[in-house]
This record gives sequence, structure tokens and C-alpha cells, in this order.
Amino acid sequence: MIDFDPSGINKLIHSPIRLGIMTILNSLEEVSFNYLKERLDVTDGNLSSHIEKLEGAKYIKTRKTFIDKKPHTSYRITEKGGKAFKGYIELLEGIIKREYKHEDSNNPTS
Amino acid sequence: MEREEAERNLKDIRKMLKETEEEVRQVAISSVDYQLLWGILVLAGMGLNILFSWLSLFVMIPIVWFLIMGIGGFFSYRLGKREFTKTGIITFVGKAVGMTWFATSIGIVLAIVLVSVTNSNPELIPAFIAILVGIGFFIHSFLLSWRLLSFTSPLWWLGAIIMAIYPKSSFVLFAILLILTYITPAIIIKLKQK
Repeated sequence: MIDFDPSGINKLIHSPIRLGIMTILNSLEEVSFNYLKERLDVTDGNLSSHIEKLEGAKYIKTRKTFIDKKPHTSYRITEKGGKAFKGYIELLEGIIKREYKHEDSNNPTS
Repeated sequence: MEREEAERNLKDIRKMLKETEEEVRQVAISSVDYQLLWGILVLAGMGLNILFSWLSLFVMIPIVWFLIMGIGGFFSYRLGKREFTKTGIITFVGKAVGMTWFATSIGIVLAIVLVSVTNSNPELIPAFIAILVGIGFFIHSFLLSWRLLSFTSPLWWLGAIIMAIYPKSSFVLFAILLILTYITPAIIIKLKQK
């Protein structure tokens, strides 16, 4: 578990849509663009811009293929992305633990 | 970031993971097209096997099985692509199930080849195959946490023992097990989906 560090928030993952993308990709092998769009209930353009940011940080990898002569785009999480996501979760847990500890020290009767 | 926000984010992540997990399970369970494909192909192969044995055209038997493996492999690949287009996801569980049956198929081919090459008793081949299929079902049910499917493994292993003791009943018993544990559940799931 990493120590609490307020400056350590990964702003790239912290956005709700990008957090959703990372959560889904972290639990599946490969996911199509349409699946992400439906699950997160976002528009094509909105999703593309968030994906672009995650791709730029090398958190996710894009694969473009043709299935039955139709273009098909899918995504996978990279090792770097997996580590960043794990770090983000640990940070959230760190914040919660730290706040509870702080409450306990202010309330010696509890 | 405040504690409330951290807790909310963690709650959202957990909810999304749970939803994904359930969806993965449902997708994996409902993927019965492979089951139908291989069940029908093997049943057809068994029918042709009996026919060519009856006609004393023994040379045709390995050709039939090679053809069935080829057709099955080709259509499995096509089904995989079609399923990905439909569901939009590839899961680790799905890959593991596919690899389990791929390894089982290699085991089956090896059992047939080794028994033939070493001049061992060919009547035992169905029993060996039944053991391997039982193992396949056992891992498959474990990967999908599908309790009902795990009951099929003991049936195949029990069938293997009976096939080894009464080799003459092998083909009929194998066909019954195939229809009961492989094809029928796939048809039921398919009908439920419709």
C-alpha cells in the first residue's frame, strides 16, 4: 500500500469516463469501441477523446482489424496502464484509511 | 480528494467490476454455438465411422476425423470472430475455456494416434476420449463457476469405466453422453435465448 500523497492523484484516470474505461479494460482481455460506448453511455466523439488521452499516456493499446470486411476497433490495457490503475485504487484506499485514522485520533473514546 | 469522493469512486469501481464479472459469466455461459458445432460434427463423424466400418472402408475413417477436425477448427475461428463482433468483448475466461477444449482435442488425437501406432487395443480409444472429455468439462465448469456443468464430468468418467469393461457398448454410450451432456444443454440454452 502506498502512503497517502495528495499530489499523487493520477488526473488522467481520475476523470469519471476514463476511470470507467480503465476499470472495464482492467477486467477484460479486449474490448470493442461499441461495447465501451454502450457501457459508459457516451457519444463517439466523447469516448474517442478520452481514449486518445489514455492512448497518449500508453495506458491502453488500440487494435484495428477487419471482421467480415468491416473495420473493427478494440482496446487492451497495457502493463503501464494496469500499474497506474492499481496505483489509483491504492491511493483511494489510502485516502479512506488516513481519514478514518484521523477521525479515531480526534475521538479517543471510539 | 476528500474521503467521500474516494469512497464514492471506489464504490463505482466495485459496482462496475461486479457488473462486468456477471456479464462475462453470462456471455461465457451463453456461448453455446461451439458446443452445438462440435457436438453435431462429432456425432456425424461417429455415424460415418460406423458406416465405413460396416462397408469395410477402414482407410476412410482417419480421413473422416481429419476432415471433422478441419471443419470444426475453421468454423470455430469464424464463430470466435462473429461472437466478438456481437458481444464486443474478449475475456480471459473465454480464452481459458477455448484453450481447455483445444488441449482436450490434442489429447484425444494423441490418444487415437498412440493407440494405433503401438498396436494397443483400439476398443479402449472411446474410454480414453471419455476420460479426457470429463476433464475438459470439469475445468470448463470450474472456470465458469457453473455447478450444473460440473456434474457432467463424473458421468463421462463413469461412462469411461463402462466403455473399458464393455467395449462393444462404447459407441452407443459415447453417443448418449454426447447428446445428453453436450448437445441437449446447448439446444436448451439456445432456445431460452430465443
